[in-house]
Amino acid sequence: MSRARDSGSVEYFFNSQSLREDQLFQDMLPEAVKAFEAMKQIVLYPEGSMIFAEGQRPRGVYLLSQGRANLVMRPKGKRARIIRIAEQGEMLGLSATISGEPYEVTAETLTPCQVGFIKRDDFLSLLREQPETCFRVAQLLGQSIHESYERFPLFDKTLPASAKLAHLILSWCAGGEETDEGIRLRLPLTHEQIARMIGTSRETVTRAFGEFRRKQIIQLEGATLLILNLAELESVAKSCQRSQKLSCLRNF
Amino acid sequence: MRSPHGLEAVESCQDCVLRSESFFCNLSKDGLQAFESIKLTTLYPKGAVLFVEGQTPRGVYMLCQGRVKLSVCSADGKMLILRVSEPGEILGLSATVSDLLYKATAETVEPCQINFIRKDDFLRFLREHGEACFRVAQHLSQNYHTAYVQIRSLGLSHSAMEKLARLLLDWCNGNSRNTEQGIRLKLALTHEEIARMIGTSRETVSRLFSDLKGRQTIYLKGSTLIVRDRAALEAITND
Repeated sequence: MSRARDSGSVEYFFNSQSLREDQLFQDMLPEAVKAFEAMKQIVLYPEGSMIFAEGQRPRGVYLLSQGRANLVMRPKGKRARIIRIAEQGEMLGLSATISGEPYEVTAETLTPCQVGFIKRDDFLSLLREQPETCFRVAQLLGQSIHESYERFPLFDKTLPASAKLAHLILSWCAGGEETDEGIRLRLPLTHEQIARMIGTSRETVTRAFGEFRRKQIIQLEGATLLILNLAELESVAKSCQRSQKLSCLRNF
Repeated sequence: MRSPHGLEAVESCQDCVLRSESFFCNLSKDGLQAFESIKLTTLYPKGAVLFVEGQTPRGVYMLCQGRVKLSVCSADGKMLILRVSEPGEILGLSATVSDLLYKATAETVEPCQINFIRKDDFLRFLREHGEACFRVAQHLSQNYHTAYVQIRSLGLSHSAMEKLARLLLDWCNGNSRNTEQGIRLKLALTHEEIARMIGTSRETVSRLFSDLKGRQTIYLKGSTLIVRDRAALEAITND
């Protein structure tokens, strides 16, 4: 692990396109940006290293200014599951840092990463001093909560793989591009990664994609995914929800 | 003042007898005054619906007295109870702050006093009062953590007894009193509703309760529950 100074990457974070959250930090006060800049430490991680681990006491937040990272969860006695892949521009470890609870997931780098680290105490005092920043952070958290509830079906073992895959594809649609033929998006993950996300094998994912293609629900060319029949995809995701009656919520 | 539903309405937050450590109750004087000026205090009877899953958020509901159940509707129209909120909690928070649709339906299970704050007022209040905003961030982080605790338990299978024990322990940590006989709490839900919460039948819930009674782990009279042996409940969940 080596350290280097850089400038501009915090600016990048606030202006980044990859923040789907509608440029949450867009009109953040210049002082706040400056404060962020002064607090953060740049850390470089090689591919395959761990930024933080599930269950660890929170040390602070990590701004992923370059690279991609896997967010992984290991339920007791189960295989590790990918929760999602964090892209350049995301802030990791946010809720644990604020609540003081252990990190919910493990962050592992998929590519060499450049990360801006801000210590917990520094971050908390920044939030107290800058209500506007705090407000944006709250918005970001609210959104993450909703997203994590939407992720529940992916963990339901009574759901067939095709329904989970449909759920996952639907969750990507917001980031897609509307065309005459349907919604076009870039497949952000390999089949192997998708398998680890919905808890099945690579072969099953490939088979489910084949089935969707045969039914003319999607079209797949390289890494470009075209959703031809959105309604059908929704019904694949839903029909199974009916049979399992959201049993996920029962495991109190 | 005599009020409907047998509740004493408390209008002022500053000299409220219900004030607790939770959430907005212990804001500074300034913050509390500003909060008071935007809140609308309402009394609700049992069974009132505050908001419905999928609705556009109108604002947040702060629970002062009483309890509210949060449920979701599955595609086939069955109701599943997520949890029961206790006084001091704020409902509809993430939807209001992030401008997303309400995630669950909130319905009172007993007469309740609720402070409603309109969305615009609430958002302005947060922007102007850093202290309150910080608390919202903390509250949301806690909710986020809970969501992950739930996700983690999804893949694991639990017996109905284990789930009931988990639920009772959770209630012990909430609105309960320590007495000589044990931890005393009032059941907010019927056996039928508990069954919907842990995904089993009403009959099973009743059987599990009498089983626990027989083992002297709990004592149940009407809707009053006394947990006599908390360690035994914990042992069930650790199996």
